[in-house]
Amino acid sequence: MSLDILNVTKIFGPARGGILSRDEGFRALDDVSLHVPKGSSFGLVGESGSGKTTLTRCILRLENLTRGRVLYEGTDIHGLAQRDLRRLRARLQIVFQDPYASLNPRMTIHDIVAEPLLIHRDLFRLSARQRSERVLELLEQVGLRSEHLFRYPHEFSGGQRQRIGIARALASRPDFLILDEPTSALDVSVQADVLNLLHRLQQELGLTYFFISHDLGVIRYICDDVAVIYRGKLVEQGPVAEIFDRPRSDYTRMLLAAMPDPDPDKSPFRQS
Amino acid sequence: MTMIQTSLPKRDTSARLENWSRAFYRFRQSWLSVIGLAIVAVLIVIALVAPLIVPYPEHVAGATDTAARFMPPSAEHWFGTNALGQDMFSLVLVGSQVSLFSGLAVVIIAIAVGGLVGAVAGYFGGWIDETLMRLTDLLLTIPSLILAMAVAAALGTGILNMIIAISITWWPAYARLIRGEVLVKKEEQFITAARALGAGPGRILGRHILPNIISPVVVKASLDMGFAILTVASLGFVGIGVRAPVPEWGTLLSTARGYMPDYWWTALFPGFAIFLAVLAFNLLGDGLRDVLDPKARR
Repeated sequence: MSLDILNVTKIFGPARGGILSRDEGFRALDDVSLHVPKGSSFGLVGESGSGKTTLTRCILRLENLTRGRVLYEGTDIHGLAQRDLRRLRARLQIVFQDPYASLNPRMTIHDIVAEPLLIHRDLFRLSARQRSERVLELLEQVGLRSEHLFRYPHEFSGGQRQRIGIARALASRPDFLILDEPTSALDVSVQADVLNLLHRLQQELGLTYFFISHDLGVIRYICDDVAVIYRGKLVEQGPVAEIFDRPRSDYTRMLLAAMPDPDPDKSPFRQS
Repeated sequence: MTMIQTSLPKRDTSARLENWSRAFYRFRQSWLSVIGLAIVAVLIVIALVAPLIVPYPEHVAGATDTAARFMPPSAEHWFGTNALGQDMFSLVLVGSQVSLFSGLAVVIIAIAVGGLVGAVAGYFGGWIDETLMRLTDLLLTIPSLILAMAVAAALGTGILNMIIAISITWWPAYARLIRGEVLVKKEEQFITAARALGAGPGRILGRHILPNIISPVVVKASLDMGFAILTVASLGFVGIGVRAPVPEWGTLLSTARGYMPDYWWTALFPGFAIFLAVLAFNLLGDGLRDVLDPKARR
């Protein structure tokens, strides 16, 4: 399902002062416009503090916009009434960066994954037993097993927790998934597993991905299109192959040059 | 919707059991906490069965035996008798009912009211927070015993009025504690996750925030139980607590005051009972804090 971000600007809290106050607040996003076509994977690259996460929060209306619009299939997310917004949230889900902080430590895996089904029970109308079966199905879909069902988050590794986060995001049968650096908190070997899982899920479920990362290798592996953001402004955007082969801006060239080469013989740490 | 035919596994409680046994192990590390727990357990049992086991149940109901006034502690009267010839042992044992029950009631009411005010103020913020917290501050500025005395005097004597009076002065402390904890937890990422899922404020507070802040509340409640018992006794001592025939530690102590030091036993045993109950709940609270809230340890 297509997502359009139109001229979005987000300014964080200018301190309330007198009329002579020069404080304009912090411009986290400055006139950002993006088009994410249905069924594709759209990558967003940027360094820490460039506004990537703020943009996801603005898309999900966890943050109010200063200016601009976010259209999902033509409906303005920020113009919706609370009830319609809740309905939309079932279709537009997010996987967070930190798998340690994004799961409630006092809830079992079953309850965590079942929660979207409970929140949107008017949409799904499942009995308690059907819900549990659906949870099990979701866990199996992300590569976890039934014996994990009634354990608590602290009993899992980072990779497993991220799978739980993915299962929770998929529970309400969304068609659009925001992935906010889903692998950056994980070990390299586990990163590959989770990326392959995401790749497989996209093909099986026909999902649209909005993939945020600072890792260009990950973007190249997953995404069709990519946009580069720097200090709240879009630097350039286009198909992945084009951006990687013929970057137009200096900032993108710099990012590409900083990419480590997978060939260990070319590592700067290797002498001789 | 296609459903895979699967057999659901049983809810596995081993992890929870393991947590409990680990928590109990840490609790046992301090023998003072174990003593506290033991005394509290004994006190609760005594309070429950006191009317059935006391040697002179008729004295508890108000009967007097003027022939046996001011008998010192002996085999028949372990704690001696008072000015009316009533058996002090029976009175002190039954007196535990009023103290424990009203202490518990005060703490529960304080948690319920303070929890609601604190959670709403912390979660919604803005002018709601300002209004509720200024009201809380206002109540905190008044010395609690004086306010409780004023309220109890206005409502009239009686156990229920006393509980209400003390609760009014106690909930603000819980409101502050819970507001602070809610403010911290509100910023956690799993709260953002719940909001992104479409959860409303009721679900976020009830399912996500409150279960995660229960530990400091339980610790404070167990420490406060001792002080609540003390406050109940203080109100009884100044004569605005429980009405006459019902034995209560503070009232017993207050009547005995006039017969000191000759008939010391009439004052010593109720006083010792108060001391023991307050000490036991404090030891228990300290132990619980070590287990549930280790960062708060001094």
